[in-house]
Formats: sequence, C-alpha cells, structure tokens
Amino acid sequence: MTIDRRHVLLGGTSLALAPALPTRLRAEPTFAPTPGKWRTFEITTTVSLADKTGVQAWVPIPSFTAEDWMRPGETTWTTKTGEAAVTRDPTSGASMLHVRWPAGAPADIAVVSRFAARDRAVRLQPADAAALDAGQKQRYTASTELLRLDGITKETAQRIVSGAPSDLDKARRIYEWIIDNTFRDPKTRGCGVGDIEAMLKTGNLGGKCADLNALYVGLARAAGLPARDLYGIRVAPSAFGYKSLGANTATVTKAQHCRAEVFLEGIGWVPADPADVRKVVLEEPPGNLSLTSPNVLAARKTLFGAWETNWLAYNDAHDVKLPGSSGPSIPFLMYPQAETAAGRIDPLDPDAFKYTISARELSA
Amino acid sequence: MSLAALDGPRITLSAPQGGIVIVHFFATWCETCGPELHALQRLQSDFGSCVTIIIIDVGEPADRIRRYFQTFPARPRIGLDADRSVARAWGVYALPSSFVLDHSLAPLWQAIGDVPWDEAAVRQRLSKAGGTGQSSDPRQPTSPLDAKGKCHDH
Repeated sequence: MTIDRRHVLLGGTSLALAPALPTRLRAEPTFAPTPGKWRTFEITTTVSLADKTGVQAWVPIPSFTAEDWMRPGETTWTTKTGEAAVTRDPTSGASMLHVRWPAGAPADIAVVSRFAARDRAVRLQPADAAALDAGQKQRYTASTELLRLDGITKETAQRIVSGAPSDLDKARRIYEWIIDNTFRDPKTRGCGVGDIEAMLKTGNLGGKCADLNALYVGLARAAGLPARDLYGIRVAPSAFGYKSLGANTATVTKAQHCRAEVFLEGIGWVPADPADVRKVVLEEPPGNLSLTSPNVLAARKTLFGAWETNWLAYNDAHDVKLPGSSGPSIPFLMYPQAETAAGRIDPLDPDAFKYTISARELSA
Repeated sequence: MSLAALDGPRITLSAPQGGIVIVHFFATWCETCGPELHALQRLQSDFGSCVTIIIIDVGEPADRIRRYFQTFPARPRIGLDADRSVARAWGVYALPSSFVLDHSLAPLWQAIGDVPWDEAAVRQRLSKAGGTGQSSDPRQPTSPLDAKGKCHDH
C-alpha cells in the first residue's frame, strides 16, 4: 500500500490550523443519536455500611422497559451475611434489591445488573403510536409529593403554552422555556430535590436534573400532557464527543442522571432533556458556554426528540415507599438507600455511606 | 405540632410561660442556612428563656444532619420533618423560612429567606413582641426576666 504523502501533510496542516479558523468555517458539532445497534452494559453496585447494628439497604436495579430502547436484564448479587430479595414498588413497578443484615455482621453486598440500550430519535410526526390507557394517562398527569400541579405550576404552564396550536408545540415550548429560564447550579447536591413549586414560587430556577427535568415534567403535566421522569445513571462516554454528557470513567458512583419524556398522541413517548442542555452550557469545555455556542445549539436541537442512550433508566417512580422501612417515602429512587437504628443514611455521600457503582460495556 | 427529634424525645410546640417562639425551617443544602443557624444560637444565648426556638430540618436523612452540625460549637435540638408534612402544613415553600409567634402561639410574622437575627432592628422588634433580650452592650445590661423568672410582656 502506498501512502499519499500530500494527503498526510494536508491532513496535518488542517488539524493544526483548525483552532484559528473562524467559527463559520469550522464543521458544526454533530449530535445525532439514531436508533442503531443495541449495546449491553453491566452495572455493579457495592455497598459496605460502616454501621453494623442491624441495618437494611435498598439498591435500585434496572426495571424500566421500553421495547425500542431500554431492556432490563438479569440482576445477581453476593452477600456474606445479608438476606436479599428483589422487590417492586406496587405503584410504579420500580424494582430494588432489599437486603437486611443481622446485628454485628458485616453489612456488605455486591449487586450486578445487566441491561441493553440503544439511542433514540423519535420522528415528530403524528403516526399510529398506541394511545395510553386510562390508568397510564391518570398516572402520568397526576401530582406527586414534589410535583404539585395546581397553583403556580398550572399558571406558569398555561402562560407558556397559551396559543400553542398542538400538543407537540406545547411540549416543545415548555422545553424551550426550561432552557431559557433555568440554569444548572453546580452547588446543588446530588441531582437536586425536585420541589418544583418551591422553584417557581421563589423564582430560584437553578438546580440539576432532578430539578430542571422535574420542572419540565410538572409543567407538561399541568398543561395536560402526560409526562414522566426517568431516574437513572450514565454508564458510558458520549459517542459524539460531549464530555459533559457521558460517564468518562468506569466508576460511575456520582453519575446519576434523570431525564424526561412527554407523551404525544399518535407519536408516543418523546424524549426531552433540557437539563442536559443546561449541563452543556455550564460544563462542556471550556465551560460557561453561551446559548448560541455551536455545542449548545446542537444539544438544544437534539435533546427534544432524541437522546444518546449511554445511560440506564432504572425506573420512573415517584414517592417510593421503601419496603420494611418505617421512614418516609422517598421522592425518587436513583441512589442506594440504607437505614440504621439511628435513621436513614445520606445517599448523597457515597464515601460515608458507603457505596460504589461501576459500569462496563459487554458488547459494542 | 409534634415531630420526631434528631436526638431525644419528640419536639412539641406548646405555649411558653412568656416571651416568643421562633419556628425555623432549614435544610443543610441551603447556603444561607448555616450562618442563620449560628445567628439563631446567638439570639438564644442573648434572649435566654424569653425566646423558644424550634429548629426543623426539612426532608433530609438523619446522618446528613448530624454531619452538618459537626462544625457547630453546640448542636441545637433539631426536629425532623422527613416527609415534609410539617413544612406543608405551615405553608413553607422555600428554605429557610421562619415564623415568629407570641406567647399564645398567635403568629406575628413570617419570613421567607434568611433573617439577620443579629441586627439591632430585628432584635428590637423581637423585644417589643415579648422576647426581651439582654443588650449586647455589656455596659447596659437589661435582664430579660422579671423577679419571678418570667419574661416581660410588652
């Protein structure tokens, strides 16, 4: 084989000059997830609690199923002294591994789950997608403890969608409103609280995905559109080069991420992730990008209707009652949970808890 | 109102012998809450039994709250509103939020956001409401208590 020296030199020259070229002459970033090959991942959660006075823990496991993009697989576990069983939240179907340890015994467990996923891109044209049944419609338009849909939420939603000619326009207007009016607050602990009424009443629209995407879901529901939060975790880097939108190491202990979907008649469930657009604004190198930056524009254009599934959706549950616990329901189940005689352990502090989560791809 | 405490017996809101009651809602994630909790501790120190302060954490696990107070010189008693039901019942939608009640538990003021409890104007207002505090000026000591150990009513 002969290498054309001119091409090598030209290639090298082009790369060297690229940063100096004006933006309009550079290639626009490509961010175009499309349903392609299924990828299989394995996610491992290890829990090792310091408190050995008789404790219990709940580890979220993949249970959300969407035939065209997310298929949960088998979950196995190993524990020396714990008694563990898979349980399901009766309302949402969210699955978790519930484990109890006797007093004085090492409170350790390793939970290994597999799942298959592929990217999504929904054609935003009315087609023949199956309608929701009455129960689903009721569930996905209902208030939850932190998604309170009346009062300021309803008023805000009505203001945003006023005059919109179709449900698709309403859904997109809310998406654009979230991007234009909220911001990612790096000081927010974990993924945020998700109290959308407090956000709207205080006017503090900063937060992370559990705040911003919950606001999307709440406003959509308040506008009459079925919508849901999907609580999960990033498991792989972005194939499109977005450092802020992927898990860039095998350790994903703090890579939890929740996304949103809105249901449109004839089209079906439509992905929406305005929180990730604000994440690109804040975190994509060099950081603090403007809304007109090419990377932000590409993410904004894509993340209504499509997303890259380098991410696991555990469940779409709200107000989850942990079986065997006398404590309160939790707003969502995205982190391992545990409790001792002294009360719940902070799930947002994995080093003290303690737990680790790792992910690897089994097939590309 | 009665709620579980971080440590010890339940915390119950009951009418004090005199003075005022401050019911304060906070969370560890709230940036202004730490300085305000310190200010409330100073207020308690200065006003003594003329003010009863009930501090309530909203929606957080116990061990997070314990760790948060490790940097405080002393940990106040903390009520746990783990399911946010007390905050909801009081109409709290933002943290911090504070309610000042008179000695019969009638509401006097509600504050959304942090309150400068150290400021003279705020302390004067509290004093007029019945929580007569000691002067921060040691040259002008005023006892908040009468001869029977009760707070002065104004």
